[in-house]
Amino acid sequence: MDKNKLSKAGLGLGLRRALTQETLDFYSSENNTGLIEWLEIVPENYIYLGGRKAQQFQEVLDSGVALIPHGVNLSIGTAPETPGKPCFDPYLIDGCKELFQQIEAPWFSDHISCTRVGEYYLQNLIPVPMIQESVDIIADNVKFLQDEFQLPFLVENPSFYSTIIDAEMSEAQFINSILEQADCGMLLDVNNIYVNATNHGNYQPVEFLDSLMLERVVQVHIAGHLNGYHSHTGHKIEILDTHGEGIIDEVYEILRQLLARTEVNAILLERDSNFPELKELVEELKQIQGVVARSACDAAIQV
Amino acid sequence: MRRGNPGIKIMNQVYQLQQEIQKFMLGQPTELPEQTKSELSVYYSLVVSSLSSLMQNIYPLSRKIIGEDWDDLMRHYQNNYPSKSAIYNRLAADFYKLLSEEDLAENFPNFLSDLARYEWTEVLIHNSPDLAASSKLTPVHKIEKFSYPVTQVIEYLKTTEDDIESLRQTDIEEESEIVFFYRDHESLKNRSFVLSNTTLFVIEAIGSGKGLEEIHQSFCAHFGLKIELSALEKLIGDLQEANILID
Repeated sequence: MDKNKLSKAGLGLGLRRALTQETLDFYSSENNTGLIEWLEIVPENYIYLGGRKAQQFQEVLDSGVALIPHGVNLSIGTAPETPGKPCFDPYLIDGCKELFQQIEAPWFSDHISCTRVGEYYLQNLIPVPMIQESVDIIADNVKFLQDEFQLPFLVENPSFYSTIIDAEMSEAQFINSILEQADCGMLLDVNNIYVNATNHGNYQPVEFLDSLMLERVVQVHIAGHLNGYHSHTGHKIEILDTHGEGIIDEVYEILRQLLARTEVNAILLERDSNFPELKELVEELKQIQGVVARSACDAAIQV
Repeated sequence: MRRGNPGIKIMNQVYQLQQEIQKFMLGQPTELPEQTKSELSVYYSLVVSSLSSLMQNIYPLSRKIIGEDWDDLMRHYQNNYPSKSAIYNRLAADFYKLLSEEDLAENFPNFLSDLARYEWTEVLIHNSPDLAASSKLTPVHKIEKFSYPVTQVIEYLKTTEDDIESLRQTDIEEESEIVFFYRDHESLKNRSFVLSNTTLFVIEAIGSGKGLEEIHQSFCAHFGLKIELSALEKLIGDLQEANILID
């Protein structure tokens, strides 16, 4: 995996139904000074479309905006019943294959997590144990997907609230082992670094960056989170990764630290709930653009 | 923190762990360490919360009727009707089955399962992929038979400003209703209407590829009626006008 061979998509925003029209209007407007150069789509929401939804998606395609898919249900962490024999949902694979061709996807991605066990979907990003066996499973699954789609695949570092069992390796070692063994790229979510660093207290975000194979980071996600959450049984966590709030300064700083260390091909503002008006997201995009510009200046000065 | 996982290598350990995690997420007893179960309760809570939001969007009228039992029903649904689809809103498909469960149904008015099935069918039609026409019938359609006059219940729920507490505790008389749901291929909007037995007969005959004269003959024989061909032509004209029949 050589990210220099992949296209440079620039700055993007998640395409969400609640904001589709406003997003397309802004994309085509004079105010779009490199703030939205591409849109990310969740493929599970755009396969097997019909009626008004198909018509709306055609309007997106007609706008000419570049689209990059980011899945939630490929479930690369699912262990097959027979070791070494990846087992995916053929309905999802077929739908994605058609969609990725239609949008000419430069790459695709999903989380290091398990969202499906057997035939049932779990409806959330369930963590996988950080052990060598998981690395083997995920690497097999990613290789299968890259072969099947003939596209580069990026694994995303998830936020997690459990390690399931004792870890055999650190989070960074776990991710690096997957990147190496699967020969794939990485989608680095800088908010998830902050969430995990805060919830688990195992590392400082900058240490985490320094221990990752940053040369594999193709795409970045940046988002907001919610402070404080407790489950129905009373289990408390400090931060919940919601993608439903504004981005905090500490997370912008992780992005700055990342860009000081490596170039990336695409950066995405991820907003999935509690949608504000688009102008608020545009302000966040401007802040991200500012971080990118400052990092470029810093890099030039260093040269 | 040690969680009691043995130091020796277990073959297929992740597979076995995921089987246990699945049980946990379906509210079943598991052999996971207590610490892990406590941590996974965050995921369970988030899943039920998302499920509740999804179901309120898909079943707004059923939600009104169910009232304060809603949260318990969501946990019951999460535990007993796991989704086999990667497409999120298909998770909601089996709600009417849950409402038909004998021990649950007695807590709710007798028409509730029909009402939920009506609401789900509307979503199904709206979200259906585009289909190629296999007959003169509009391709995206579904005929549903209900045991109760569900369209009247819906009309009432949509228009009444009254407290619906009384309806929540009221059974209504059984009276079957057949509804034709379809997506208008021009406007792409959902449409539906109640079918009489005779119109249903004609629609099914057209769907099976029969021509006008054949339908006329079988109609008269089936209902023991002698109607003019022109009456049938009029009905077919109405169906064409409503975009139920396509050219």
